[in-house]
Amino acid sequence: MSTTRTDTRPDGGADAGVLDAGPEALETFRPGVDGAWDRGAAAHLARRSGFGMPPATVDRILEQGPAAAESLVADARRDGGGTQLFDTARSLNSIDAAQSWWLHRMLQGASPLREKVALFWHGHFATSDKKVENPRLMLDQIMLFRRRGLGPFADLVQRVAKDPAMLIWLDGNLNRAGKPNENFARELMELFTLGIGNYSEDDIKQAARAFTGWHVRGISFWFNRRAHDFGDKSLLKRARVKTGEEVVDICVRHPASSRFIARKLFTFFVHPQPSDRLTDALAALYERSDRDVGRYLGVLLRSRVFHGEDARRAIIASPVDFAIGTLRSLEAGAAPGKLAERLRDMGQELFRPPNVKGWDGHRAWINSTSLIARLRFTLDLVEEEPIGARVPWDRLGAGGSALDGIFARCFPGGVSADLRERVASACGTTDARRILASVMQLPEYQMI
Amino acid sequence: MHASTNRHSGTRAMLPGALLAVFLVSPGALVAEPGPEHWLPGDVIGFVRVREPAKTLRRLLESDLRKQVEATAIYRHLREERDGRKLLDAIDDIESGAGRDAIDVVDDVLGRDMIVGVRLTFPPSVLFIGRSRSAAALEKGVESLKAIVRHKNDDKFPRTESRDHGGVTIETTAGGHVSWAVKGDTLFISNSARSVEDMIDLASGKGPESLAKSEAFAAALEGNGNEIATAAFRPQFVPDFRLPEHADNPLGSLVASGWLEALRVSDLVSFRLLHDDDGVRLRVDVNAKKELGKDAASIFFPTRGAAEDAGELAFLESGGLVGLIHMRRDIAKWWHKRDQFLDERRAADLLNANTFLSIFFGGVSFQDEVLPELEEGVTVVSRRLSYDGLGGTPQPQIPGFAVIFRLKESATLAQRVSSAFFQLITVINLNRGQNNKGAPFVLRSEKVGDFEMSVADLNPIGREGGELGIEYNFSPSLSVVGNRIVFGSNKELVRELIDELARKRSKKNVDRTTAIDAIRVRGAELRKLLDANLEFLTNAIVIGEGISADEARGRLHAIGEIIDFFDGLSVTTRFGDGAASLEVSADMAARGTTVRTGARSDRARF
Repeated sequence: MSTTRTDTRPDGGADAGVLDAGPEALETFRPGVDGAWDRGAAAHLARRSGFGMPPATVDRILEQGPAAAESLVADARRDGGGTQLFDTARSLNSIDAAQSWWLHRMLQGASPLREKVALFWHGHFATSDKKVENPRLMLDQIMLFRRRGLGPFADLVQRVAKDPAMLIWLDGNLNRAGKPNENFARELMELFTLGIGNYSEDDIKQAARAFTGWHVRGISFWFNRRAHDFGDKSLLKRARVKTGEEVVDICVRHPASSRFIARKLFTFFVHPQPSDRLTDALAALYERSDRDVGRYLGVLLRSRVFHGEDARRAIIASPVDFAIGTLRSLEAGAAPGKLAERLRDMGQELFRPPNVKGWDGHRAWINSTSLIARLRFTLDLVEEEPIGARVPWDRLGAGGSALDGIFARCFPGGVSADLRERVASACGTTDARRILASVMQLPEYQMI
Repeated sequence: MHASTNRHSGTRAMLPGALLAVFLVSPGALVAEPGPEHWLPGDVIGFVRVREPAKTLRRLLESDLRKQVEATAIYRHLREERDGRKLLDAIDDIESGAGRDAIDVVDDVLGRDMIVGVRLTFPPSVLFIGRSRSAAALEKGVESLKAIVRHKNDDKFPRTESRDHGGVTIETTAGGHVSWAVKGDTLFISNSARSVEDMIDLASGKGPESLAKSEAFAAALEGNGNEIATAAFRPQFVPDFRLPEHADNPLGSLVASGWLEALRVSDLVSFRLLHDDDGVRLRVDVNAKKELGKDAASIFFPTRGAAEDAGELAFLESGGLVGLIHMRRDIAKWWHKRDQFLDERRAADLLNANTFLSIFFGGVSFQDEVLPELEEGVTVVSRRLSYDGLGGTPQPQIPGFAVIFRLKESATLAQRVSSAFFQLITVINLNRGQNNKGAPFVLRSEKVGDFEMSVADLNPIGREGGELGIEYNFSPSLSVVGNRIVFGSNKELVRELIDELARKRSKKNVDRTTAIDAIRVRGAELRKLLDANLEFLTNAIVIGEGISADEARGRLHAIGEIIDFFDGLSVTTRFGDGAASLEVSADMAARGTTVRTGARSDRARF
């Protein structure tokens, strides 16, 4: 493995390819042996465990070494809820306020990993306010992801199954004894725990019976005994199952669930296409971690496969990564209310994923419409006023040229001489706004 | 910064604050004397006349209010803004050029008064007359002006040509763009040499008809000597002076269409900044060249019952009043004539609304059977709420709002209104239930004195542990009190209003002038509301704009400072003796300063 690397991929990140490796790839990255521990490596961990690469974060990670991953997870596990701002957003009970609050947390929160994990679960348990029509319940669900997203997966799914927003989203109140509604049971197996092909239609029917009477009254979960089917159910080769809680437990402990969840987390945080062999190793690691998401991620984010060349800039930046990441890298501020609109234009409207499968992500982030929206965001950012941005332009050029300052923020691991020359010849080295706009449009910059 | 800036920094430091305070201070008594309007040609299309501008400005600069204004965060912010800095730099430049304080230059040139008029020529001619206290003072002032021009022009004065006109020397710049002349203590300036000649002729007792003798402007020039400034224009001669034919907003039409109609038939609009015992007021006169259409007059300026309304308004202003709006309109007639005042789309919206509202009113036509039952006066009252009995205080705190309709025949409509209220709440509940909005409203009724009040309370089942969201500001309530329908956002406010309407209707010793519109805003209550929501608003700004809490608090503090200047704001429209008037006054009694800014439109013959 090369020890002198830049912060870009030779192919500009256009094709990550299938990543094949065995269990050894999940061992801890050894600086100097498996590769260099440099600013590029620290920035890689900053990008994946949060949004962007604020210099102070990169410095801290660089100093701590690969073990920084564990402290990032530990920070994110601490309770991040109950703030006054959350209460205010909740009181306002509008989707604009909800979006603004979360973006504010992403921009200024102490633990970007907490928000990134919540964003992962928001896409995984995709619930949209377009149907729920209750911003408070949507906020509560996001708070659940923030508080429990790095804990045991079983605990998270048990809570999601009783989450009022989820029950409204998947028609819980229509699920009654004798007339079961299969929506939640189907998504529980297909999208939340097992993945398609690992259950039968009968399993869904049986599971749906177990969730009968799991209703919402007012804005709270309510076990409606009169609507519950108390009979025995049989699913996934288990007999005499009675309750919804048992169904959830069976699903999350199923071997297929380990492969499904371990792989999905890997594709979000490390690389979009792990091979089957690598997926087996990931599932084993996940089970060794007691299906505890935080423990699993803690190992993953300091592994050799994570810090390998193939994983670097291998994921296409989501709109949130692109916008929030840029702002954090530049240590810039912006009006969250305006950002929410731009994210929607770029294809990622928070609290409103497109369907039960959530956002397709990766290549789907880039199309002719979203690219124009990214360009618009770029121009809005350099113009500042349209999104209420506050960019510290003076700091970007401090101690050198604006070109060097901006590259240091956007590609802390360095860039090829060719790339630098391309931008310099197009924009010069002093006009920070033009340079930033140009850098943000680079194909390389669309990758994290 | 120029060296002279420090020498003459008094004006530079004080002027911006004074400009902010210009409407907020009471100048001393003014002496009436024949004005410069006698020397301005009568064929101008508009003019502005100011008496003793330097004296007034100096009073403003020296007032206590200036210090109060300068102490505010918003003033400091404006001062640092680009435009604020430009203004200060311009004053610096003037003082550097003149080598004197800018106010002293103004005093020399405009010691008595000034007038500016515009003639409709191509290009338009601007005519200026400045009258000094004496010929010697003017000469000194003109020298200062020339020094300023030289300072701005690399120490050179533009080449000029001189010629004599009736014994007065007219100087014109080489390009002919500016001409001026001095006659005794008077300075004439114009972009047209011919206009300067006309002004000199008038000052010599010759020439065309003067503004003072113009019939068209006679109404604007009437006065009692208390005018600080007077301005007027003839709308029909102002290029591109267009009034919208139709409103695109029904509420906007109800509020403003009457005034638009009055302006449409006016041949003179004038403004007067007055000072009298009540303080400083701005009055607007709209002279009509022909009568306002009967429809517009009867819809927007109905007088029948206005005196009774005036008595009622006096007690509705009690309690924690945040604001009150009272409008007298013949809404039924306006609804029928909607095509006349609203654009096509909005008029069609009202047609659709009629169908929808008719369902709520039990199948009777809203347009033909409900609206005609309403008297002309409608009042909206807003008061702070105490939330007694709620077991907490919602965040944010929103004041209660109630609308009071007056009925011609209460027995007929009251039942229908109650039925519509129940249906409305049922629809809201259905919507909340279908969309999982949580607690539905529970309908009940309670007795307030001799009157029934229907209340829609939020069901406590949906309430989460002690947390009261924004919705707990609302408990829609309705009551019929005699011939009054009271419909409010909160039962607490409706209870208060029932009590007041039942007991205090015959309050005496109130101004029973026929008020058409009345708006009252109480600064102190607004401030309490702001204070009660300070943390909530701070957080909301932080979330929405991504700024720090300190910065957000700073913004709210600035708003609070502005509110603090105004103890109250009052707008009153009156109609009587064939004239309509609008008065606006800002009450600043809390700071020891009573200021009334008045706008009045009268003389329009309807």
